[in-house]
Amino acid sequence: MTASTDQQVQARQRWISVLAKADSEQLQQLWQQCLMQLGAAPDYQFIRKPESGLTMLRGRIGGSGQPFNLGEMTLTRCALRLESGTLGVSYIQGRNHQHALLAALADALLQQDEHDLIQRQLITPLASQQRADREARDSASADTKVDFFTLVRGED
Amino acid sequence: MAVVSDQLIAGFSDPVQDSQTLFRTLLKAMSEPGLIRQIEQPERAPGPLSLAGWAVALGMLDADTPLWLSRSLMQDSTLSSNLRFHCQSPLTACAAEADFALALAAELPELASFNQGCAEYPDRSATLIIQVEGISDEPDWTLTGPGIESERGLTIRGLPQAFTEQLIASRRRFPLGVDCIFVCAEQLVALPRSTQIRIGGA
Repeated sequence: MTASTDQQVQARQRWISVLAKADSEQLQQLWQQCLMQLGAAPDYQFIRKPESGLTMLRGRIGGSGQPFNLGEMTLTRCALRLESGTLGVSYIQGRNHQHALLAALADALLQQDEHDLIQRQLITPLASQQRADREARDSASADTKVDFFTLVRGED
Repeated sequence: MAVVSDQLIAGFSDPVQDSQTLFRTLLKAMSEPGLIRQIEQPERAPGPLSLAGWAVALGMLDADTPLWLSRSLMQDSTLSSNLRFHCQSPLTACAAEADFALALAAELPELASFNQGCAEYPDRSATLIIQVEGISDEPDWTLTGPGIESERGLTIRGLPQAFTEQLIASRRRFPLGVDCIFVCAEQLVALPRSTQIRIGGA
């Protein structure tokens, strides 16, 4: 795989991640604005209609220990093909089928000429919102951080 | 082999309803061996596979059913991409490990290379989905056994002579053996291992 396709893969992973974690209502609002700029809703055909199911989340203690099953989560996935032939896929948390559909549509459009528009109008605002939410959560929990000190007990 | 996204086609338009309909069709076909059934969905099939073959794959295969493909089907990237995407079944190169086998009639290996089940668990045998050139109810074969009142005629075109002989001989090992589903265009017909085959008309 060449360097440029590696970068393309990473860029796509980033926007798929942003779309998957986006707030459904905010995604809907931003999508309506995108539609106005696109002119018409893109034509597409389903490869896999939005379908909900459960997936097992696996974790590793400390990121490197033995894998264990953390628990199951609901997930909705969707795949569709635009008129132009581009395939868009989405996997989102929860069971909002409309969210899965929009995420797959956006993924397909981001791979072709509409990339800049969707990136500017949809991905950038969603990503900054997610960053702000995370920072707010981190700073709220940082206030409650406790450092434990132990006295040296002279055992060594 | 990775999934080639350009070649993916749509599966069942209504996955729940259509797989139940397919399962029901297959159940009828298995319980009345030799009766030819028509499938209604899907509308397109990938690569060289027939509509009925694709319908059986969509309805029956999942991540827990190792699948064996005959040579030219294995080499067809459209088919393997769609099987991976829609069915998620692991593809195996070893016929004996497969729960399902999807094969063109002309490329069938020896029948003995498929899993025939074991005496304790005869139900663990393989199910063969065989794409043939034609299916009709002319009495080229005469079938008898459970699900057939007296006897029933069936013609499968394009099945190698050697495979037919092995299939007839395999009935002596009952309850071991494989179940076959023959597919052609939108038609399918099932021959479970309990059906006796006699060459020639009544």
